[in-house]
Amino acid sequence: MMKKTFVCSVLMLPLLLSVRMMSAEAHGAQIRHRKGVAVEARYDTGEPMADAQVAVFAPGQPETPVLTGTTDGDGLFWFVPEADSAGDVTPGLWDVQVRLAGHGALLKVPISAEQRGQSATGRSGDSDAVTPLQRMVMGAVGIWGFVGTALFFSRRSSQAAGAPSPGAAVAPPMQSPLVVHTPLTDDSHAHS
Amino acid sequence: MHIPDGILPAQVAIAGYAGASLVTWYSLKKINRLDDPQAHIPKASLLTAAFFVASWIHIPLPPSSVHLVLNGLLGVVLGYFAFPAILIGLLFQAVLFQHGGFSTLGINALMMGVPALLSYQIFQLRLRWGGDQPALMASFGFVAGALGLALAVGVFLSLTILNLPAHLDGATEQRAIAILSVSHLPMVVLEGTFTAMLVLFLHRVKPELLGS
Repeated sequence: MMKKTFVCSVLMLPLLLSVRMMSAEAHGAQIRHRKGVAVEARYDTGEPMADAQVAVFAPGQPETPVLTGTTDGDGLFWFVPEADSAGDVTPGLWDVQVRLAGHGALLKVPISAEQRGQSATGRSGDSDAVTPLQRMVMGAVGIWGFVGTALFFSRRSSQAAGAPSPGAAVAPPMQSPLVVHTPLTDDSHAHS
Repeated sequence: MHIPDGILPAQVAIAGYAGASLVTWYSLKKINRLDDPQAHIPKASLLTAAFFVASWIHIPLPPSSVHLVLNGLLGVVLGYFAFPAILIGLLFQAVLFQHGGFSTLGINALMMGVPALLSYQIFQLRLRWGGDQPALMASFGFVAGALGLALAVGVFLSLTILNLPAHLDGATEQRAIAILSVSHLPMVVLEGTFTAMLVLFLHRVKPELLGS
């Protein structure tokens, strides 16, 4: 009887230990850091694209997104490039497409195998790199181009309408000898 | 209102360029038949500047904000010059401010330029109804200006909904596009009113600009 109880205890011991270990793990906390990609989506007015749909495409897979989601209220979206079964991240340009109500952009995020876990922040388009002052100057230059074109062609039309211009002032002296000369020949014929 | 790069498939973008080339050719042909085509360039150039700047004037209407387009107004005042003017304005907006896109330049030009040409035809219809009475001009100006933007919004709505990628949540995106389109309704009324006011003003101070 004693022997039978002992055998049972020996057999039960690993089971009890394993239950105890599982219990310890279940109450523990595992924290590890995984650096990923932060995407910030804004309209060109600067306001965030909240609740926009985001699709992330791995290199070489432009049709099927590896992950989808939506931006938060500030137009932000985070993701960690998924590793394959060997634990490697596909290196190359990962495409992040953000879209809301027919507006959106495609952002290419360069990720190399060595850079796995390193963070990158991308912005859609280059307009954010331009300061408001630069935008104003570019706009003013563009407007001046159109206004200058208008002025150029309106000057041409005013010349055609007979307005005096520096070029037109030269013409009369060149024509005047002919005008003077013609009556003289007519007179000579009349006398002859 | 502008469709940016990466929203439409390549076939649609290429078809947009083909269509825009065709309409540009047709417009230039019509312009070339005028007695003095160059005489219209100053007003076309100034209204191109107005179109170029109009996209800066944003009016916050949820879920985003909408901006002036003025395509109907350009059609009413410029006639066949409106299409090249819109094409050049869109090119400058894409180059300087990344507003719109290069791949979608043709489709955006068609989306805004063809309604502009229709607005011109509608405004010219007033001549059959008795000519240049102020009330008639204002009414036709309003309808032409409003319809120009309304048609452009309709084309935007159709193009974006018909070309939704499979990976998107279609219902959510369709709802967002529909809300954006509805939020353009005040702009349609605003641009119609603005066109009517401009037409009346030009009729009083310089009627030859309206080309009637």
